[in-house]
Amino acid sequence: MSRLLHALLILSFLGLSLSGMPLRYSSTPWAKALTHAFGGVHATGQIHRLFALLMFSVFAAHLIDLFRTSRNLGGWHAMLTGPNSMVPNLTDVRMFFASLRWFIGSGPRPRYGRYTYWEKFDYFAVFWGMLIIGSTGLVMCFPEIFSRFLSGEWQNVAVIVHSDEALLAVLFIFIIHFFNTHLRPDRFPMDMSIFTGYISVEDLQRERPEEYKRLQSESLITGESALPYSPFYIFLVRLYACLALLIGLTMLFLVARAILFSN
Amino acid sequence: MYAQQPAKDTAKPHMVLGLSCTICHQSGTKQPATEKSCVNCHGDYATLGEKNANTFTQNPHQGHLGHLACTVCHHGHKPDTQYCQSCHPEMEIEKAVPGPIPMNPPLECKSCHPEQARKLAHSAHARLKWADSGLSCRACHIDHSLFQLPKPKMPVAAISGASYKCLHCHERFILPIMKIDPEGELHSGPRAPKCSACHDAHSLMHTQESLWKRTEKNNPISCLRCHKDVQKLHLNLQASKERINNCDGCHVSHAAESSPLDLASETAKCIRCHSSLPGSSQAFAPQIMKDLKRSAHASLQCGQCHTRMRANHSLSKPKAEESTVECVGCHQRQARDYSMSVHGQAPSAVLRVSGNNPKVKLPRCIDCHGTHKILKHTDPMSPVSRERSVQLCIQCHSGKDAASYFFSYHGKANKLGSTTTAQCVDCHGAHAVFVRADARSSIAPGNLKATCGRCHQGANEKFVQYASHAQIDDKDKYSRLYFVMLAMQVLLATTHAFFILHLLFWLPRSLKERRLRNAVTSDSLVSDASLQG
Repeated sequence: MSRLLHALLILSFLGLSLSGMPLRYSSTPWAKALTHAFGGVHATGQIHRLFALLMFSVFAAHLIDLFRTSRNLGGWHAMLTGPNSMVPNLTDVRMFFASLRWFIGSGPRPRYGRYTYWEKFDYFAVFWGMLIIGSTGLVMCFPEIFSRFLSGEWQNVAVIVHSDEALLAVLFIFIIHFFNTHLRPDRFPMDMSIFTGYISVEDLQRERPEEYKRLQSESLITGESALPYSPFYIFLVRLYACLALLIGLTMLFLVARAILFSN
Repeated sequence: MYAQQPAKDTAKPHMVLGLSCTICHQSGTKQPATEKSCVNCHGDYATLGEKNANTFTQNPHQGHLGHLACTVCHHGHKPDTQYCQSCHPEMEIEKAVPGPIPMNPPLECKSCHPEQARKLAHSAHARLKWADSGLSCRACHIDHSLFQLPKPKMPVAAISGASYKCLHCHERFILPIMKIDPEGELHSGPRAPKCSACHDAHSLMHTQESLWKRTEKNNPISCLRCHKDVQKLHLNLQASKERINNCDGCHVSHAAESSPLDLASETAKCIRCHSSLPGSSQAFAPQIMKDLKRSAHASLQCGQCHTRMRANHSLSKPKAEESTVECVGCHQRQARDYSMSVHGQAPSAVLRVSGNNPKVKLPRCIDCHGTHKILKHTDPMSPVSRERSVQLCIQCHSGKDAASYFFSYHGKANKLGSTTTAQCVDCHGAHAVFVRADARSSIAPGNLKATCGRCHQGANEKFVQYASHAQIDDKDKYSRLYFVMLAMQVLLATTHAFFILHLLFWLPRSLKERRLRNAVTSDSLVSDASLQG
């Protein structure tokens, strides 16, 4: 489920940034070219709304998934405090400082669990971003309806927040998320586990020893030596992921250029 | 030969009446009688002419030689003679002789009138093929005789003066002249100029080029003799002297469209010069004619906009500040709106609207719509089209007005090529542009709901509080928006600062990890190979 949602999230995120960023940087040539490619300003707007609908669906599906998981794990409390929880805790703070020491060479590699602190931040950044961008997007999409109970000035606020938060999301995903989980040299070119659902025992042992220990103690590690997918499927997945990375990096380049050379 | 009549002398009848000698010989009988004594009793020469008009078929007292002394014919005590017969030996004053009276010996006109004869010899009249050796003097001077001949029957009795003689042959000119002025006010009727007012009486036909020139010293007679107001106008153009100095450059001389040029052919006349005149100012460039043909005004004649040219022959283009005067003739509603708007007001109003450039001039019709290249606003090439009008407005309304517009969705969409999104004119109006404080303004608080509602159906009181020209970097005016923006920027900056630092710390460690792992992999490969070996 999470894999499918991640794939759809990629699709909607790229679609939204491709159809949204031209409006923010409307004076650049690439904005005009992209808009033209989408079939004009109006069509670009419709495409943006379409992808927004997809992202809303992903968000809703994830909430349903969370609800189901919580039932399987025996309630919200169990899920939020369990070893697979996304909720940051004291261990994460310790891990952060341990990581800093490890980076500068004055400590061993921290024994990360199932989710590292940066992954948790990633998750909540996206969660928060979807709420903020989604709600402001709705306000802008239906200005006449929202003006029944919101002052017109909220439209101005919505524009600023939507646009700036979108920029934050784009930069964060295309720089921080890409580096942390895919592009950093010891993981280059990408971490396939989010696409396949599997991680090799070797990787698990090295990168998340705590999780390895837990899974071993619960005898959950399978003896499979190869992924249960055809090579063609793996190829398709890699292609999709690489395309997403490429589009993301191109967007990053264009946006960065627009920011740096706007005047 | 006519029979010689018995000669009468003048003195005898006086003596029969028993009149005293001194009646005629006033200064004494030894002195000859003078004309003065004749006039005392018989009245002057002209009176005699009238008195004798019924007596003589050809009145000797109304001859072409004018006033002759009485004693030329009347010799007192000697018999009278007929002075006329010295040239016209066959002429008798009591007998009608039809037609020209032969002269003996034939008298050459040119012996008395050499200048006229010389001119005539070079004129077109002298070269007429159907008259063997050209027209003689008498062809025109039909009444150059001692006695008045009956006037020829004229198609137009009102044609005055010498013209009727010309019109014997040149009848074809009558109709055009009548046509241009059926009321008889201009070139026909009692006030009409004679042919000779324009045409030199004898050299007449050589004047095609020089006739109308007012500067030619040898041709002092021209249209300008009567049409004095034209002097200051089109004709003053030295550069185009040769082409324009002739009135018939525009007004055909006899078909003479008079003051109002024939509308249908006016532009055709103008472009005879204005499409090809080399070395002239831009106004004469052929490009203008091309533009005009493609423009919405393609069917208009030059003078419909260049009204000053038509009104008083002024060449000057429609004065920019007066351009509405020309445009208003057709575009009344727009002109009325414009004249009320800030653009049509006093300069002080402009300072308020675009404070950043106090020297800015009020836009006039042509500043937005162009001149010869005027296109309909539906034409994408028109500066007032939906594709271009924003670019037009921001030529003056640059700075904050434009920047804040381009910061809004409306402006961004416009920049990306949308023609349906709100543009300057959609909210502010095109001609009826007023300042916000003016109740007539479409952006006056009371009118905003209607203005926004044209696109946003159901726009209410709250909706119109949207700041369409929000300058979010203006901390005082838009403080809330400013702080929202600031908060977002701080959020963005801190998040990225934190994680990029994190990334930079991680990068060297990650590189080391990669090298380490590669080394391990190659080691194990080596060991695998050694095992197999």
